[in-house]
Amino acid sequence: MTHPTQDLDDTVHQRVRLGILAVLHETPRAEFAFLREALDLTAGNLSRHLQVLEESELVVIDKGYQGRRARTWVRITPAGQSAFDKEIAGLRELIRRADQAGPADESGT
Amino acid sequence: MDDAEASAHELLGLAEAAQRRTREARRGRFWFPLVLFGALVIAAAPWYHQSQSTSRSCQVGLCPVRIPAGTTHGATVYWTVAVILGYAATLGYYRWRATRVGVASRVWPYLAVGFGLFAAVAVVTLPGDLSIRGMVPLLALVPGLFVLAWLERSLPLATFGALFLAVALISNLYDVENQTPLIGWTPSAEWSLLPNLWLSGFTLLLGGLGFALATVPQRRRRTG
Repeated sequence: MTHPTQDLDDTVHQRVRLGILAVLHETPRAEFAFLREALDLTAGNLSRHLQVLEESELVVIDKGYQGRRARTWVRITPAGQSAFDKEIAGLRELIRRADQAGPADESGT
Repeated sequence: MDDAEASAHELLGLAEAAQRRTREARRGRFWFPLVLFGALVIAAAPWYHQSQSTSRSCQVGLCPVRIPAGTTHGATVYWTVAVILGYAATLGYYRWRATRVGVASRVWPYLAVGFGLFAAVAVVTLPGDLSIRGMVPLLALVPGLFVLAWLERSLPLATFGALFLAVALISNLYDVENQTPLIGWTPSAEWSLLPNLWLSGFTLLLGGLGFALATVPQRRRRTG
């Protein structure tokens, strides 16, 4: 049986990128400003992580205008949904195994 | 707790918090279609005026079944226009809120189910009596409410949907005018369908206003 850490994708297994995918998992699309505020990030930091996710085809970025105001909307791709679900399942499995191993370790010491 | 487990706990907590925050940001929009369709149902009253000469009919196996006489085609036209405008306005409102808050909501399944069911009702009941007491369009609104409750993950809306199902069935199957004297209102024979119509209309309207008032503190918390 493989260890759950082997199932974790380096692109997704990172707190900011996982946070971005978590937001996008709950909505058809979110605006850049909402992501920045929800995840408490600077614009530059968010942009860098979005670029990584876009290059991995986990999100799609749509840039446009609402009146004269520039708006950037981000949505998750099916691959992104799948990667997020896999990451969450991996994290839960890691915690479950650690919880199971915990009492045994304690009794052995 | 080792580093990997601590990190897993932290990441999971972070993801869940982000999901919770997003759900809160897109919550509380469904009051709009409730209020809108409540108003549209109430405003349908003129199409439910019955002339005495043709006010009774024995159709669909339930006798006597009264249908809005002489104006039945008018009612079908009214409902068709009202339903199209209602769902279009709902889409517009959801888009406007998405732009304002920065988070979109899934609303297309609600629009598709609501409009699809009404179109089916309109086609099945053509040439225009809209079947039992002319109130079947009220029943066509119900599945849409359950779809919306599922999309919004809202138990209160699902509960309201069940309540509205009961109310819409009463509007379709019972002469509500039998009970209106209890509140001091005895409609004339020409307007005897009005209590049926307005029972459902005001249920939607007041339910929508209740949900709107309940979401005001949440919106203030988010913007404050």
